[in-house]
Amino acid sequence: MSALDIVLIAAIAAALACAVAFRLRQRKKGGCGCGCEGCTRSCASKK
Amino acid sequence: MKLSELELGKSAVVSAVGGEGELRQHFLDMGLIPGTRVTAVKYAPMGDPLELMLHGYELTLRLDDAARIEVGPAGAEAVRGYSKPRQGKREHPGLGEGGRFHPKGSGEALPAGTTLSFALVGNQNSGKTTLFNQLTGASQHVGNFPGVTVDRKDGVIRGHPETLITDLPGIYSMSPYSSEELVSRSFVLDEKPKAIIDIVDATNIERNLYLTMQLLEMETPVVVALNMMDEMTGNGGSVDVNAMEALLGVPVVPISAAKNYGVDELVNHAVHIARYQEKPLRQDFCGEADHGGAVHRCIHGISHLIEDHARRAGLPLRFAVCKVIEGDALVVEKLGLDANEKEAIEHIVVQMENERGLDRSAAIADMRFAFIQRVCEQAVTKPAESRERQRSERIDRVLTGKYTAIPAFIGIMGLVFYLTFNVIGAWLQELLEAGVGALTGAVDGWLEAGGVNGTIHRLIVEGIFEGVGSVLSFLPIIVVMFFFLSMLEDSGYIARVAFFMDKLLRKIGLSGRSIVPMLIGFGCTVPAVMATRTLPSERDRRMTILLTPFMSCTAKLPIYSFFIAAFFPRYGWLVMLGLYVLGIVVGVLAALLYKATLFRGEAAPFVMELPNYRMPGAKNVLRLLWEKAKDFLQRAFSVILIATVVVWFLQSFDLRLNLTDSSQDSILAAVSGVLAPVMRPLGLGDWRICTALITGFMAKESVVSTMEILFAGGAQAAMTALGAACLLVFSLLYTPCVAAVASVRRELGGKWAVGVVFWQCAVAWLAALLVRVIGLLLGGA
Repeated sequence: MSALDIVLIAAIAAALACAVAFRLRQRKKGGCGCGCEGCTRSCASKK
Repeated sequence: MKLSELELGKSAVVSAVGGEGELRQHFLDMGLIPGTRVTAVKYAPMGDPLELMLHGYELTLRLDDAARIEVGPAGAEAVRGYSKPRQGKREHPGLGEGGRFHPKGSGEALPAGTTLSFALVGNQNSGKTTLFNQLTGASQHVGNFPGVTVDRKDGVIRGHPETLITDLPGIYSMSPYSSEELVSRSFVLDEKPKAIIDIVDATNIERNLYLTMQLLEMETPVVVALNMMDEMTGNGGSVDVNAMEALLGVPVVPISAAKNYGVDELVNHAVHIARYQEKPLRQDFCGEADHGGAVHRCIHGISHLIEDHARRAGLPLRFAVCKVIEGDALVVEKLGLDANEKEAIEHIVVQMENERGLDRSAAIADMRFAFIQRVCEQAVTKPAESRERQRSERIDRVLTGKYTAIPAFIGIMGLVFYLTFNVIGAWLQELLEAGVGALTGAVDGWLEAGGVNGTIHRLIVEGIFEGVGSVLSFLPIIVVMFFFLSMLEDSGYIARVAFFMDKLLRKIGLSGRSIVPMLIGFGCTVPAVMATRTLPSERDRRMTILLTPFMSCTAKLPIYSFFIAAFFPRYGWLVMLGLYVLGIVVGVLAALLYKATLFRGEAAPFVMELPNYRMPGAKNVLRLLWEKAKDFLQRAFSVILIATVVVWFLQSFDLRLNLTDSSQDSILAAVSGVLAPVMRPLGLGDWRICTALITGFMAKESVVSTMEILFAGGAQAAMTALGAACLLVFSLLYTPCVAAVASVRRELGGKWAVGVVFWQCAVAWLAALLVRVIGLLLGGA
């Protein structure tokens, strides 16, 4: 496995970690649903 | 004579209001009280509902409901009009300003550091959200349809970090009629904001002041923002602000939220009254001389009786008294009155009814409207019929005309779909596809040249680029679709669609108002489910929520386009339209089934205000498009990226986690194979199809990205045209995505949400089977 392969694997892993963190952060912010604007607003009204 | 028998163009005066419960209260709150002059404007194209003009605005009512209202001939004495206000300079009361009740900079201010919380309250479609956006710099969506805001939203007023303002759904009175109205009332009563900003549509001042009067009873500082003053003065009207301020006993600030005029002054007044807790100077609107003072004596008598109860329950006294007289069960329960007190109150109220000649609710509503009339007589010069009104009438001759409404609706929707899928959206999509294709090719070349490991190479090109790229190319279509839906809503057309579709929707057990969530459902099911909160009846709301998944959302477009391009390229437009129509037809059948089983009974009454047509604001539309594009891109680079990599992983490794060349031996094949027997009767027994459909539960767009990965050699090789047709029908109808199911769970609860998932899958399975059987009978393979 070359250095470039390792760099690419690291980049993909980082991108995935970012994507997962982003969704989790959105869910946490919204508290429920998928974290989109609709769900966030829906949750806000139930607080 | 009944109101339903009133001839078009003729006027009459309301003599008695029938009906019962919340509906009757809603009639009264909307201004349909004995003594009010009403004019029949038009009937909907199918003969029902009826559009009325009263108190200077337009209200729609079903004939069945109009038949509950008795009217008599309109005489000059019955006209609730008002002459030019008294001329001459009137002293500025200076309410809400330093120097009037205490020297500037002094007074008993709330302790430093106290958050000044504001409730932004007003009638539906009075411009609350526009003002909220101006005040906070937020970017909430506004529309020209009563009830766009279905939730409360918080923000901080720009330049005032110590403030917190909450935008609430529009309400017509403090007697909650729909669940969103309850949100507003509960907020004001339970969360006790430091002050209320009451936004009043100056072009429709009489009906708007009805709510103002109830807010003045809340023992909370109030500032009245007279919105749309530019429109009012532009049509020759005016308001003597000093006179109105003196009569209402609260600061009155003329503004134009859309043009950001007067907003700074409003903020100064609002912050001042909140900081110094300057409550309304007036709460007593009942005149001693009004009809012998019957209402006046009743209110004040009960006021003494329940004073201690109101204090203990934390309810504003005057508000509690009016609600007790009206028979508001929630308030009566909260007060905890004993039998003796209830009996005494009942005697007082009956006496008032006898003396006043009106029932309790009508008497209270009449007292309020009588005061409003006095205020208007002294402070308001009514504008001539506004240009906006005249323009709306001209447009409505075609768009809600007897013979033109339905063809115009079909034409407009057809044009929207044609422009979205064939012209603008398609052109932009091709452009983006070409860009994504070129980038994929370039990356492919770089990886090849760099001698990258074959597996990583495949993951990047076949997994990530083709998966995410294929979904990304649908961004233009989705944005264009939302652009048109937003234009229709902002212009005021959607409210008309609700008006003329009411009779049709009533046949399937729904009210015309249900058309709005359904149309939004063509965009996205999540906001559609939330939009059902504007529906006044729980029965209608539940039924509409269950029907929105049948409306094909934009996230399914990539699936349709993918299969149409592969199997039906010559009939693309027809197949696309057919799928949309099929969704509606199955929805109608489901509605008939619901009506006969789960939701027996009649749809809620159709009492709705028709706003004037307005030119959609470019800023508002662009803001919405940016929100949708951002949301889509976020999904593409998060959920779909994760899904594509997971799918690629599962199809590249076998159960022993060894890399496999044949997808047939992969983990994915093993897992999806369990579902394959269920789908086999539909001709969709291929494990790859089952996998794609499972990933579609996370996000519909994932179906295509999964297909791209799994059908590397093209879907045509693995499927027939009939199979593709069955898959299209199944995708159209099967379970909505997890976000939509979550919103159903929020609105209806977990059991209903699980029910929706299984029910939609069952309906989809049956419909796809039907398509397959018909296809086989016609000689398909």
